[in-house]
Amino acid sequence: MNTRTLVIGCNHRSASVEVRERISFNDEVAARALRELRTRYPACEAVLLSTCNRMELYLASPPGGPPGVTEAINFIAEFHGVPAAEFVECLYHYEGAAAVRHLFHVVCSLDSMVLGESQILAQTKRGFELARSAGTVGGTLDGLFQRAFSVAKEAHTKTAIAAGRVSVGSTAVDLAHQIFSHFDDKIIMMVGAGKMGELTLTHLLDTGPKRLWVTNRTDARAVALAEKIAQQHLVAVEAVPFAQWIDHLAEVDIVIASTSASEPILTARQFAPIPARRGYRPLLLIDIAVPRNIEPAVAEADGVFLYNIDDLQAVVEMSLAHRREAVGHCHQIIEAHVVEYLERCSRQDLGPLIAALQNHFRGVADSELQRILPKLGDISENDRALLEQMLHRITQKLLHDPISHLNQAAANGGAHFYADALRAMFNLTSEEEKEKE
Amino acid sequence: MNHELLVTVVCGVSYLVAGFAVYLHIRGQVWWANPVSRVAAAAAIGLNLAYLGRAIALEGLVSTFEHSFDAIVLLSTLIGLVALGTHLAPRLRGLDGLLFLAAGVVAFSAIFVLRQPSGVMSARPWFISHSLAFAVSGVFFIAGGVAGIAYLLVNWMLRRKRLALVRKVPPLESLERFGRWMPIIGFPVFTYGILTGLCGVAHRPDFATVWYRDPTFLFAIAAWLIYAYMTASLMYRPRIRGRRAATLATYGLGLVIVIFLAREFLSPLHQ
Repeated sequence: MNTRTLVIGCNHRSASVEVRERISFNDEVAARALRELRTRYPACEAVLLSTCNRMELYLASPPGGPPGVTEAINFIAEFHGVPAAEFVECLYHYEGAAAVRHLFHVVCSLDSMVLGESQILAQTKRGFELARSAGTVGGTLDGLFQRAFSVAKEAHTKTAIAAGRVSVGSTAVDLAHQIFSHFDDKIIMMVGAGKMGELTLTHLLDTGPKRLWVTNRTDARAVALAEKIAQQHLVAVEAVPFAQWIDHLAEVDIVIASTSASEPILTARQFAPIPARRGYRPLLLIDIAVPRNIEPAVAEADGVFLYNIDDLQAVVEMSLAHRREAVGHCHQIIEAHVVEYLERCSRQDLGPLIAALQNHFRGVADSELQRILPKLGDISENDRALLEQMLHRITQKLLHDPISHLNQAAANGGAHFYADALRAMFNLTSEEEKEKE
Repeated sequence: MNHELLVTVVCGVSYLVAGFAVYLHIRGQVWWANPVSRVAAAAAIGLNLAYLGRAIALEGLVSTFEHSFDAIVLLSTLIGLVALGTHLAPRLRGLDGLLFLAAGVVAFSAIFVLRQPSGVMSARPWFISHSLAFAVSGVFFIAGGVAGIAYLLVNWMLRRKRLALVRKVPPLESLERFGRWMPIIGFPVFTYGILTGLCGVAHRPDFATVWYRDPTFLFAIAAWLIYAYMTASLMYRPRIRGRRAATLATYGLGLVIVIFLAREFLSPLHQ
């Protein structure tokens, strides 16, 4: 590659949260850092990816030119005012093909804490957009990141890397979606104030239910909980007295039970009259309490779907197993794209060299033509054009085979030897520079 | 191989391929499954329509649907169109696979009536209404029955906690709504079909002595009673919903198949 690509950073495996938080960048700070980096190294391209689990700086600069690894580490240290010695041990860095491969792994979520999570792709896109608006993205990083996004898309569509849910809350949402097709007429009731229950409720609120009821064995706590949820999620929440919660089951569609009661708070006997009162509509009961809050026999009624924490956990495990199975296929996709990307870069790098070679040959032919023309005397315009054409065709034919070989070598990743030989033999370096000028 | 057999085999195989591709799409991340199912279904429907168009152009509307073969091609086309419709409705994804399979089975069943001579009812205006009404109501009942089967499968999956296919198959609520509307829409059309049939044959002098010997007529009346009960229950009885409604719709589908078999193989009077 004509440009050096480098990534330097740390992630949840290489650095503790104490280190990560000291060298992380929020959007505003990242934009400032990128601009500062550009001021310091004008020829360099940069993209910053900073999430709660990783901080990575992607750089593209002319070969041999700054910033290298040391300059990048110093820049991060100086920007954050943190001595480099405090975090340098936690950093990893990759260059060239390894950097490309690492980025593809990151966007495909193979390097994430939760395998296959889709957030990292959105975060990478945001980091890339931020760098673009800061003006630190050029041809190299633009091509690299666009390719990375298409690799991620391919991995997500062709493999099961992002299949299924990997949290209890989102699994509960999936179950709700499997039973109900729409939620704008549904009522959700949360029984108890367990942390897990609240987390599950947070996921379910995204479905946009019609109403939300909260109840607790201590009524005052139910009122406080309703107020807390209303404030946190900006939704209308009603507190229901615990003595009446079973009566309310006639109207409710989804129940999340997470009290710390040692005995079931809903038995099959208590539930028996409910299905008829609710017109046999389906009812989803999510019991994530241990010991369980709902007697298993309740699920025997028609249209009642009862799941406990083990059921939900089993789905999570199943999804993770599917994702792990897909890792091998993802690696294959990534490797194919890395090879293709590098080949493309090599071909692009050869463009100026080929142009220089053609110019060199044309120059020789032209000078020979200029030398011979006065000796030919008074020749017609037609004859002159014929001579020019002949020289042009000879030049093209002479160059056809070497250029084909060069392109073929580029495709096989071995163009550098030929390129160097051509530059040395025909003194093309200066011509390439002229091209650039 | 004559062109009727070719149409039957190609359409049947295409529908089955579409159904199998939908199954693959549901089971795993097979990226090509969706395009394959669409292409196969479109090919089957296109070929069916082309065949029907050609037949109508050559023989006229009434003569075309006198043939059992052509009536079955029409039925499989309509089921295929409903399947394609459910395929394009995200909330009913998964039901399309079962409907494609149903369309494939119906398409293949045309093989049994391939060489059957045309009926003697030709050119009677009531006959075309009667036969089309049965074809259209058959589509609604088959679609409702298939939705009922899908509901029972998803319900079983959820209650037995076999959760590998969660969110890959249509939600119960969608299946129930679809399964509820299909018989409600199909029932009046079916009633119309029975009435046109009655009007068509009531003037025959032997009608009073032969109607009870015709299995098609008897099964059709039984099916009408079941669907009448089901339609009324679906509209007015809250207890008949969910698993019960799905079970009823499945029985209805069974009866539709029985009527079809009776008409083709057990009912010389009806023929």
